[in-house]
Amino acid sequence: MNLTLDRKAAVLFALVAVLYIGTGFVQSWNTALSILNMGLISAIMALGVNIQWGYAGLFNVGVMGFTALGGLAAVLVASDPVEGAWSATGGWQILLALLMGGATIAAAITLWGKLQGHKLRGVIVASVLIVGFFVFRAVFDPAVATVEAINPALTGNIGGLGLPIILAWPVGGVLAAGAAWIIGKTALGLRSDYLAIATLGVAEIIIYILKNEDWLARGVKNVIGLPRPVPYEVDLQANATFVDAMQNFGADPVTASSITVKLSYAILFSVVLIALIWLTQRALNSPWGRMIRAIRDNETSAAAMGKNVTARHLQIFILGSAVCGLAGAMMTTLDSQLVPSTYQPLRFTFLIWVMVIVGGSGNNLGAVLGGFLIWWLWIQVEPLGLLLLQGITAGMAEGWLKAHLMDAAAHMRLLTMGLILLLVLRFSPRGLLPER
Amino acid sequence: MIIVENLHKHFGGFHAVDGASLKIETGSITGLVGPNGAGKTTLFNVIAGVLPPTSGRVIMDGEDITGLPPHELFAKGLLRTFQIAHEFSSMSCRENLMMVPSGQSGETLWNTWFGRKRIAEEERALKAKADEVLEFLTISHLADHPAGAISGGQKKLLELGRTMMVDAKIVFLDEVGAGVNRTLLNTIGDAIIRLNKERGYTFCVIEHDMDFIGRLCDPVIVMAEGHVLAEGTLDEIKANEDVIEAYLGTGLKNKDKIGA
Ligand SMILES: Nc1ncnc2c1ncn2[C@@H]1O[C@H](COP(=O)(O)OP(=O)(O)OP(=O)(O)O)[C@@H](O)[C@H]1O
Ligand SMILES: [Mg+2]
Repeated sequence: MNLTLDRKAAVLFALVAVLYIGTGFVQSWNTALSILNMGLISAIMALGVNIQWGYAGLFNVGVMGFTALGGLAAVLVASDPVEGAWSATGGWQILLALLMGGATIAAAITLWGKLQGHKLRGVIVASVLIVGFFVFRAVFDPAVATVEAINPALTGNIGGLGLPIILAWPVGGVLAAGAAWIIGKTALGLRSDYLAIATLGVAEIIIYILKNEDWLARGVKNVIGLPRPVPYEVDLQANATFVDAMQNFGADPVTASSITVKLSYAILFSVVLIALIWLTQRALNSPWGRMIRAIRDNETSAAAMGKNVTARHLQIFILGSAVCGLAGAMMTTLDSQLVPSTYQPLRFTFLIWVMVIVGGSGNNLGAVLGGFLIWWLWIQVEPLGLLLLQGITAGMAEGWLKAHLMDAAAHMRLLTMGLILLLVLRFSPRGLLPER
Repeated sequence: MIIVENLHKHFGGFHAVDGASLKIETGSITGLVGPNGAGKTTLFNVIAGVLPPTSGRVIMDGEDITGLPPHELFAKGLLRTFQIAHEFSSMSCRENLMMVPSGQSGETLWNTWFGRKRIAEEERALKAKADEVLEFLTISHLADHPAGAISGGQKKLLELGRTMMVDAKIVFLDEVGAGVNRTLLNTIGDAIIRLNKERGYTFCVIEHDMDFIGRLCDPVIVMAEGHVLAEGTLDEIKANEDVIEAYLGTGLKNKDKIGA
């Protein structure tokens, strides 16, 4: 990095800070902090994608799947255990069925390798899979029915471990890493577009499972009221010391409590973001980073110089996905709920990609900047657009044109994202903060 | 010793390597010559694990290494350079060299976070080594230049330099002298001889310049149309009728090209 780029980074980060602080003054500090918290999470997701794309050219279009796995981790780790769900014919039997399913697949893969050249290879492996599948269903289905019958209006799922939700963050990372390992093992080393297709497919499958497997996380019935890592507003308002302190300070205790909660989240998230930036920057400014850049510059040559390209790609793919999973768990923590239907490719995959491209792919700070900037715009463009269109149509007679224009406000977000993407690609094709 | 047994590499219906069999003795500097399109580079690519063979075997010191991936061959001490320079273009020339040795502790993520002291020591040693190699290749002044921005001949030197960063057993050089001026070519020749004598490197050298081949190589293997045509000292193959025929057959009118 040279000085001018450092200076440019400082200026751009300051500008984004002005956006957030301005929001605090013009709208409210509550709004500003809400946007900031999701901005922090977006920055972490963008960092995850940047690790994959910027440093290894791995095209992950399944960000939403990894994010959703993080959300699942939050439910499994932090929600209260469901009474009676872990009976021998319930939760344990589901676990048994899943293990058997896994064993079937493992057996099929081993056989496929062992029977190389055997005439009946296909038939044998297929029969193992088919038999395995029916055994799996025979064990799985009744157990699922048992679990889902437990108080379906409130639970009907296996529940969680009831542990502090912060623990779910690393667990979310591990779940996402596991999914990435499976995808990477199958698709890496093949043509690079296969990876993109695999990530897209697996992400859709993950969302599908979350929506349909009620025993797991209640499906579309959603899990709400997940515990928090920070105090509740009502508790703060009931706390005499807090109320006194805020009143001495001249602040309204209700507003103050809500700001305190959001600020606590912001501090937690900032710690994670800073730690991740530290880890990634250290890794990149090291022989490991040099090896990664060499691989990106010329895979054939890096392989000839003894570097195991596929293994490094797998490592990077797993790390980047883990970061997305971590961010997903943090997001579910912030929301206190898991709503599978909100995992839209547009909101997650597309928007995160815009952040990385606008910020500057290959540059960690760029991705972080993109995360903050694009998230702020994503939230603010709709009200701003509405205001703008109200201004334009103020003098118009009521009619189809005015109605049409006002309807268009709802689409401002996408329009703006497209426009920003175009402008950046035209005038600064390597992003606002290019790599070196 | 490298033994290539009846190696084939077909691209669709085209037989780029068509039943090549040859031996590279340990400690030798073996030349590999032949008209353009004879299949020399393709043969290198198959030996070095870049391309899978259609059929045939490659054996290194008694071990079948056919189809092993390049990084495993590197670990066994088999290195190669590329005919078309394959530099790491965004990295400095020095970094191009420093990345080569494997097993650097700084290549492990954990150490990049919590083992900086050891990395710093290793890096100092690597840098000294890289600078020595750059000095030797007369391109010290380019140490901090991005490798993508140096001249074609200089890139070839860098390619050679990479093989000097580790202790190799056998090095395959694909026209390492092409585009390099005569004085430097002599320096490269000296370097190859020295690496061969002092560090015991075995070399297999593709080159069109017969003076260069004559100075370094014994034996010389001639390839044409995907298979081995002749083998012997340069003088022997120069006198070989098949060889003269092969060179003329490609449309190279002047016999002097191979000094026959
Ligand atoms: N990937 C490929 N696909 C199809 N044909 C190929 C491929 N690589 C090489 N060939 C063909 O194989 C033949 C041998 O090429 P090769 O590069 O091995 O020749 P060479 O002996 O190294 O020649 P030169 O001295 O010009 O470098 C050529 O006719 C070339 O067109
Ligand atoms: Mg060639």
